[in-house]
Amino acid sequence: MDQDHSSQKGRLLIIDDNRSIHDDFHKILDQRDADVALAEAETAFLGEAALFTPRITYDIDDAFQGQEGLELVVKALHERRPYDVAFVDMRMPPGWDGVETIERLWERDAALQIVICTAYSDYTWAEIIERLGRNDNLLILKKPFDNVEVSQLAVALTEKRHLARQAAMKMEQLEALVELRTQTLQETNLEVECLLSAISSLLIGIDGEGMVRRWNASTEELFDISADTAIGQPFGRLDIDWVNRDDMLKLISIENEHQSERHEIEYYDRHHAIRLLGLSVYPVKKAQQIGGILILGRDITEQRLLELKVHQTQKLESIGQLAAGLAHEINTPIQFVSGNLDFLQQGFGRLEQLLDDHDRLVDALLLNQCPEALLKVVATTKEVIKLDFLKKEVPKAFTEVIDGVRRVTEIVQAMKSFSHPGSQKKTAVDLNKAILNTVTVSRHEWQRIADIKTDLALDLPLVPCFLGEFNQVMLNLIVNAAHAIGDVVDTHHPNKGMITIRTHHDGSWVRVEVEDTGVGIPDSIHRRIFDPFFTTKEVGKGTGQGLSIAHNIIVNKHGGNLTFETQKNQGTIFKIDLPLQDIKGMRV
Amino acid sequence: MTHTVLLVDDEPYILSSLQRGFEFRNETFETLSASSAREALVILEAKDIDLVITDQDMPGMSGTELLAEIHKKYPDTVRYMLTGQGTLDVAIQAINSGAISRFFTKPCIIADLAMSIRQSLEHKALTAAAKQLLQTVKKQSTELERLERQHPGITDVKTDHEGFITAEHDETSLEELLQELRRKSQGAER
Repeated sequence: MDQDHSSQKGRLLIIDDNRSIHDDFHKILDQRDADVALAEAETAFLGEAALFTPRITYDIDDAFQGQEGLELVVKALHERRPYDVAFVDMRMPPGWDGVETIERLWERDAALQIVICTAYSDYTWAEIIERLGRNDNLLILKKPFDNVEVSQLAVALTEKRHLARQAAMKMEQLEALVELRTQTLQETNLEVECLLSAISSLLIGIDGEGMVRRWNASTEELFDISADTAIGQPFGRLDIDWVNRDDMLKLISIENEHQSERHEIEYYDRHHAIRLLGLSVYPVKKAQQIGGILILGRDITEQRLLELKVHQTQKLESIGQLAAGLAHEINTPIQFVSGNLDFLQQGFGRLEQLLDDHDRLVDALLLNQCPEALLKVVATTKEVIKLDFLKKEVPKAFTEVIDGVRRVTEIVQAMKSFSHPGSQKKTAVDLNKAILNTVTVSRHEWQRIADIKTDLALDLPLVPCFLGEFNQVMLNLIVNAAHAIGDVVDTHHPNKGMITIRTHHDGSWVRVEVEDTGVGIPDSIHRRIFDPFFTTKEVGKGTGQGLSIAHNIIVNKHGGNLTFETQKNQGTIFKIDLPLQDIKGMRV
Repeated sequence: MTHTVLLVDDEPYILSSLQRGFEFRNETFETLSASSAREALVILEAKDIDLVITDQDMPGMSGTELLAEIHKKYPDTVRYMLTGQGTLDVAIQAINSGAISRFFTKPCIIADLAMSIRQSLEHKALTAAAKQLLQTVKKQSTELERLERQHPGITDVKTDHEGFITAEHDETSLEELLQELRRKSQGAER
């Protein structure tokens, strides 16, 4: 800002060799005289409307030669209060004429508004323009002056200069602001760049054409490809050894432009070991079209291994808990199998006595001897060995032995398939069979407390599933159901509860429900039951891991849902929904 | 006198195989069975049971709870536990609250079980007989004391210098006294 401007104050310079012209200007433009003159003029020419003419007061300086005028202009500039308008006479002997004066003035103050005053011109307008090289900021006033014309020129040009000055100032401010903003932006950009390269996550930016645009330090390190190499290349052609290229192509193809997607993808590192990446893909929208994608993520190989270990540990723990119950479950049939075998062995021993008697009887008959005495012996033996009892009981004993052996076999087989470590990949699983196995191995946990009713859909399709982990979820839900019922059923309420397990098939989903007639889950803990280590069970009965792990298995590993409905003292239903279609990032 | 043994287990084949084994071995005791603790208590209410063998894990009341109840109500009934859950916890509970005399784990050999039962029943019979005898002796001595009070010197047998018993006469005739004694002793036997 060059000076404190009052927009109502104009600075005028009059350059004319004729003193009377100066007087005329003063008369028209000086404050007091001007008021009178204007009032006259207004009344004469413009009527009432002219009352609204802006009243500007002027500082008027006089110069009688071009040279002198230039000095004043320079001085004014130096004082930082330049003139707004100069009235320049065309002929001013002996010095510079008007055009030369104007040239000189503009050399120093290009924005100065100039009015050329002339009675007759030595130059045509075209010649003046040609000499000065410009036609802005220049007006011609023909002598003799019209007072109003002079007044209006002074007002208009002063105003013009002021506005121009303001505009220039604004422009200057704006430019400064822009520069400031640009600088801030650059700093921010730099900061963001630093941040992006500092983060331990992978960050890959790919534009709409599939070209790599961003490749941070972690990515460089992970893939052993420098940013210089990667940026500008198509992502699909980078030297990365994907285990499955289709997965990679799926990764960079966006299905829903509004949603981020999670992927798990494997690649071989430089030692040819498989590593697992957990990536989130975000579509980047620019204006109207999709501007590409941003891939964020990290190597989750170690994490996955730890998860597997935790799951395995929890599974072993549950198998450990089951072991005592299973021993009991096996010992019971073994008890009556061995008891019955003992009976059958003894029974056969006694039958042999009878057979011996019979052999003797047959031998005697063959010798045509009268077996009268022998018949008596046989009759006695029959009584001694309790033949009638044997006939009645041996078939029953066999039935029991067969049943017992079947039960033990069933338990052992169920245990075997229950605790099968399972594969790393999903397999097509008959959930009904898996459920029945789990019911068998967990029998000891529920049979005193509840009966289990199964209502399994016959048309249930095979479901892509990690069998071992599904079994674990079922076990947790069944044991929880039994515990919930156990809190209601005790010595005083000897009626057993009921656990109902249902499966059914609905479109591309399969639903498994485990319903109990237990205490229900209090409202206050609804939000916490899937939290790790949250438990309401007494020490030793639960670790608070069961539902948390079940949730992780169903939701994260299978892309399914685990929900529940509960009613106080009525019971709870846990619902597992599993997708039949394998979802992205997981394979069957 | 036949002894009665009550078997308690929620697994019907355990009951049937044990009963079959005992009967085939011509064991002298009779067996009854119950499939729950509740049912066992109902039977105990109705019949004299000499010995109870119970499972531990059963719906409703557990084996140890049943034994504790029996220990309280029928202290003379011998108590066994036969369980597939051979853990220390169960054993401690059975001993402390049920005061059991034998703890068997499944699978057990029927012959061993039968022998233990026989021994326990003999022991119980002997104990009962000894108790009975002790009571008889007590009663008789009470009677004698009473007689001595009524007929001082009657329990004291006097002999003369040649060894003959001397009987002194009092108001009651000897005949009357003998009748009274006979009546008393018959009453005691009944």
